[in-house]
Amino acid sequence: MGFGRYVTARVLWAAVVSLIIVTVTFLLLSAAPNPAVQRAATQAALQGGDPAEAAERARELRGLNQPLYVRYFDFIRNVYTLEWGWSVSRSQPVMEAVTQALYYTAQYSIPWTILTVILGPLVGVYSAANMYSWKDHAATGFAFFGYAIPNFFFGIILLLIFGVWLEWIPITYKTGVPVFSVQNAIQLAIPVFVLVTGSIGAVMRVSRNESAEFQNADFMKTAKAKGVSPLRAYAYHVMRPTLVPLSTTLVGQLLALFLGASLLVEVVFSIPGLGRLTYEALLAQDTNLVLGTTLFFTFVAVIGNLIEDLVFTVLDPRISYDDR
Amino acid sequence: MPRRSIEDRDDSRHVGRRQWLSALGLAGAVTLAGCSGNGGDGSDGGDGSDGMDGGDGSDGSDGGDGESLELSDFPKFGVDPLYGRDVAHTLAERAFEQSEHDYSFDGDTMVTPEGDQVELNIYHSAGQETSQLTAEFIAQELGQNLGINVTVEAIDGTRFNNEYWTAEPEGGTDTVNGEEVTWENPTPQNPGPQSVTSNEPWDMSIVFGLNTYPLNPLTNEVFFDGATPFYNPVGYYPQFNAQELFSEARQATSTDELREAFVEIFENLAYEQPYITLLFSDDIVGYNPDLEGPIENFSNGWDLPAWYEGEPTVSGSYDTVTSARFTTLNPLFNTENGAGNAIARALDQGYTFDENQDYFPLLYDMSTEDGEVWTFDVRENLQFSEPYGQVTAEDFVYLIQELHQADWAPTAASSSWDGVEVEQTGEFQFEATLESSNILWPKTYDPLLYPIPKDLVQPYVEEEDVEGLQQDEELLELQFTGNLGAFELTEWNRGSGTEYVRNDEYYLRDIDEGPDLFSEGPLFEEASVSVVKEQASRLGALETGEADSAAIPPEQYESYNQDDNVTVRQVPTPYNTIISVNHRANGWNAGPGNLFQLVPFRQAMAAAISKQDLIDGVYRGLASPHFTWQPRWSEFYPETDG
Repeated sequence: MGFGRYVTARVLWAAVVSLIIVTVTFLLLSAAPNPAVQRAATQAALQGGDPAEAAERARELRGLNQPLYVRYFDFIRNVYTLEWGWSVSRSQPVMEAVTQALYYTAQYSIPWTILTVILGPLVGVYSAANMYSWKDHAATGFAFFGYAIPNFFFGIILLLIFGVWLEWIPITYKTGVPVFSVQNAIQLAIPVFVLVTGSIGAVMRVSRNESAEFQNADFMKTAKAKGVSPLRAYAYHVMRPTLVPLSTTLVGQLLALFLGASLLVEVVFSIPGLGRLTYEALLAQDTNLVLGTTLFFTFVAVIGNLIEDLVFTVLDPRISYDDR
Repeated sequence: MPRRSIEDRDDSRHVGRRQWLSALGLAGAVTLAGCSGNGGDGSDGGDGSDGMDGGDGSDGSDGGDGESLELSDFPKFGVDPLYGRDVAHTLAERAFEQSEHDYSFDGDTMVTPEGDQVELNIYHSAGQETSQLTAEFIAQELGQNLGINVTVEAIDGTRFNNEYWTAEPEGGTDTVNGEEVTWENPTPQNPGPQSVTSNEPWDMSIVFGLNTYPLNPLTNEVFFDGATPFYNPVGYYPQFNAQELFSEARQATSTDELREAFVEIFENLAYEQPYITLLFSDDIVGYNPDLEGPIENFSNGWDLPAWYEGEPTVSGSYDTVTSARFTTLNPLFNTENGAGNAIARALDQGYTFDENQDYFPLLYDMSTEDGEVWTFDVRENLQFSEPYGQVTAEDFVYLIQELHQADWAPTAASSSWDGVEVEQTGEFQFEATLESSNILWPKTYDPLLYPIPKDLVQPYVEEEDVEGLQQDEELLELQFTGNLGAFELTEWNRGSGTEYVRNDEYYLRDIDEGPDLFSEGPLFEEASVSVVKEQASRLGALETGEADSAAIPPEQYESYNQDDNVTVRQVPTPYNTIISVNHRANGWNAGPGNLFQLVPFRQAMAAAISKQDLIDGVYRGLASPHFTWQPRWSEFYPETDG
């Protein structure tokens, strides 16, 4: 199989996967009771109205009175024409909601991802190079601390120290400040720090153990014997083979972290990003928005996996896509 | 409601337009640590009324003395002298006499006809510490003073509502007070006579608290208008002629007549204890200490345009935080309190209530001769943004007739205008005729209107285009508000909140009524409402001065009260904490019959629980005792010297 065919097959498979995910999401949403309808009924009863009528009106308002298949086909058609509809829980088009949320999420997730990808393996290799020394223990302790402490709790503590006590950072996130400004860097420093410490642990441990294998490999001994500087030896001869198995863990893990971790951090730091958008859409049973965010994450995951596979073959030419 | 802005409270319980009518359901939605309630001496909390007639000096001691216990018209159970083991036993024994079944006391223990101890359960809201502590305190008091073994159980509010609190409406007939009563319009909250029951049996619950409607107590009809009101999940049958008294209240043409009718209703409710009344908890709000204006009153925030920071000059920004983001800012469709407050920054409604809970005209004044025909006089200095021009009576009449009263447009206020005839009588005047007299109509918030330009909504009305109306950008972004609000909305970020700048043309500056500072209001250059989900972050923002007000959880009351950076205010609420006892056939699972149906038994329960100990122990003093279906600060509280 050639590279082109391989990519095409992967993309087509991705489309099928996305359709399955969207369908399952739709079915689950349809099966769940709608709290908004129930609330409307209770409200009506308390106000002296007819609860059944109010519930019916609420259902009509949300288009829930149409047959399932009609709603499903409407759903699918709109998805593939990028007509993701109107978010009833935010009173704006879904595309606009997702774009707006992505704008804020990207501001912390890009530095977070870059720092994790760079620092994780570096700390791991450093740790391996100084195995069982105090430096190794300190680096491991740091990694485990970040991994063990819940992000939201760590965030609140740091907010208390740097926001409330020292007043170095603002408590409430300001959406109006320019992206590339000192003010923005200040308000994002703590969220990024919390996220990096949270995600660096696993990467660091994997890279430490992987690189330990190569510390005393023949090619390292040769390099050292040839007088290659330690920095060059580690960068070229240890780091590179270490990154091969790590690339699968890295990308996958970061994508998995994307939604969960960012939700909690977004809640604590009041960042109106994708995590909160998705979570609130689910709570509000805002079908269009749930679909929009699900699609977005499906897309990110599919692309991420694709990149992962490609990176795999680039990093280690011995791995071929021919067999897959 | 405009100007009633305690918008930072977690549970969104503050008074909104229709929301004011909603049941609370979250009476104890705060967490507290530690409970010192010990069923002590039942001190009376200084209410100064003994609640007993006869003045025989009875201490309620057992046996013969207890027989002489006489209750006043307005008994105050749960405070001295109507608190304690002896009073509770006396009242319970009266219930035993009325019961067909042979319940009795074996020493201090209440026993069933079979001789077993009476065992009941009480549900509280899962995950809410205050609710749990309250339930445990009740169990302890009922154990000590009535010898009942109470099991405390946690339950999710939604599950309780679906499986226990509500039932399939069946209807039916039953004899109530010797008369045959038919359930013609059963609802899930009042599915029929006591024989109609929910899926699951239950004895007692503190999961839900309810509203007591102090501004318009007529609304309490939904709970107590005979045995067949809309909302009667517990299956209470009044032993007094509730329907007649409510009917009298409805026909009242003066406040005095109204008060008279209500005195009797509220005395009867205090006596019969359909729900065992416990307390009204306060909202605790922290403010920037430099902020002048907040009051510890239900109407807190009504005069926001006169609030200022430091000196009474225009400066700074009024910033608040809220936990819930807004679904819509379209005034026609909004039903949320938080969004209502965000809208209120930029758009006034027709009227409000001042610190004395008196009507205060904003956009229009309302007057009536008989409570049936109401005249609305619209101010003449109201302007929409261009091109919509001046606000006239025609805008309001069109809004009511073509939107609120139209079947195709499910506006938030549609139920308020059912059966009301509206007619324009002048450029700035219109009349509304009600189906029956109601001198408290403004206090129902039903006639409260937003000003919406006729020309803006007309195209949607002609097309009957609901979606278009809901998604109209001018409505959603409040771009038509002209001089009708204290501030102009500059940005609504769906995730993070709203930002405003001062409206230099605000009409309120030119009115004669209200505080002098209205002539310069608002006294802030800017305003904002930020959505901050995390409570710790909201409190942090309050402490550092980033926010000018935020709700404070009761367990942190003490620490914030001693903090110089925060001024703490206690704002009383009309939402109660009650024990709901199940009068229906699946209530009282301790033995034969259902003692909850007997007035003396409910009185005995109320007398067994010390309200003040509960308030001090669980609510840290941040609540007031609840004797009848009105808070003490209500003008309809049945005692003027209380």
